[in-house]
Amino acid sequence: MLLLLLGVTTGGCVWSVPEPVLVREPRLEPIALSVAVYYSPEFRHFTYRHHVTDTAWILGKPSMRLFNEALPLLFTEVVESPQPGSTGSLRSGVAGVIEPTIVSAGYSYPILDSARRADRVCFQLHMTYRFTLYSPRGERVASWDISGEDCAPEQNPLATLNTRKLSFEQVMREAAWNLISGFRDVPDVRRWLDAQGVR
Amino acid sequence: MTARALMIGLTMALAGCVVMPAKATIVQTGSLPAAAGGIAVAVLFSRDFSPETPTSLGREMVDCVNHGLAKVIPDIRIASEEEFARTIFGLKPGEILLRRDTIGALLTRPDIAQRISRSGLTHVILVEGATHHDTGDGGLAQVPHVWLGAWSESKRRTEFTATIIDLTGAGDVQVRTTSEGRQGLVVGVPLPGAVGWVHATESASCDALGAGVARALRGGGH
Repeated sequence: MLLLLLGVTTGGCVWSVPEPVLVREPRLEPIALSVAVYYSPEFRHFTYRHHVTDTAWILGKPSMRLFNEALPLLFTEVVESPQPGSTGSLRSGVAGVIEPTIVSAGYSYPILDSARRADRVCFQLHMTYRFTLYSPRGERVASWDISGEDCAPEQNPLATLNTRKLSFEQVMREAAWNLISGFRDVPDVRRWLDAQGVR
Repeated sequence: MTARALMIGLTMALAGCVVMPAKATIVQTGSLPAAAGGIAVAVLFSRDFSPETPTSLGREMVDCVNHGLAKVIPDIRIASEEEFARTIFGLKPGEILLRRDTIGALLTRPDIAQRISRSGLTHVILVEGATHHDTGDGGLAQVPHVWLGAWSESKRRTEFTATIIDLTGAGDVQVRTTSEGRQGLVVGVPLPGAVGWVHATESASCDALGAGVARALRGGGH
């Protein structure tokens, strides 16, 4: 309860922006394709607001920055697209367009009784991204979700804001890693890669 | 009742926090050969490796182990996390996935092994830990870490572990310390900023961990 109380008193006008770091090792062999990425206005400006503490978290901008760094590790060339499908704006040679969206994000304060039953106190925090791959003509090729979860252990109740920020960063970092390390394993993506002649 | 009265008296006299001395026990799993030459280590904390360890506690543990190593092995070379990431991977901390299922393959990859060899690093040490609480008697607003407007006492049990990875391929060693202690506190306002968050049990475990790691690196027994 005290954590919640502290959260309420320190909440309100707090706007926090996680600064996730991209995993670059273990390094992966990039796929020899040129792709485009489309960030919708909703994605770019996605903000999560905790309903009890009224604390706002800007998640779209750091996600966009993270994927701008991650996708070039996955493909040999990445360009930005102004829209998900082509209306003549995509340059030739682009094999597809990837659009990320944030499906859900949030956290819950540790409830003392349940935390004690589990013998630990932590913030349950999660984020789910949905990635949609379009053909250059704008047809949907694949769609899959990548989720990250964290049970951020709390030690100092006066540092809960920083704990949640670090936890969001950890979850976003994990999601970006799962995107690039698991991309080839998505069945529809695998078929698309096969069709592109990528082994 | 007497214990409670004593606790209240002591806590009031000490203006906030009373912690009972705690003893730590050390258990070492495996052993390393006695170091032939100089020892150079990087002590790291990563939530990839130990997701259940609070970040602040992990950083304190790194400091504790570094301090313990410098005290016991004066000629040891200790590389910071930044130096390790930059020298071995050419990256920043956090850009390397130090998970249990990735770290082995990473450190033995030929290009990385070559950089490790050039750097002179002999060991990488990863720390993890947790504190468990059993709340005893107490006043009103209790949570495991802080007390407001009341007094409280609780039992704390800490378990810290250091995994020592021998970069010459001699194997891995684990040093685990556990300690248990009681503490009491009386406050009218939140005091954690004033009294700090390293409790006696954690402090005992931390000191013991530093000493235990130093002994293991010197080729000490179990």
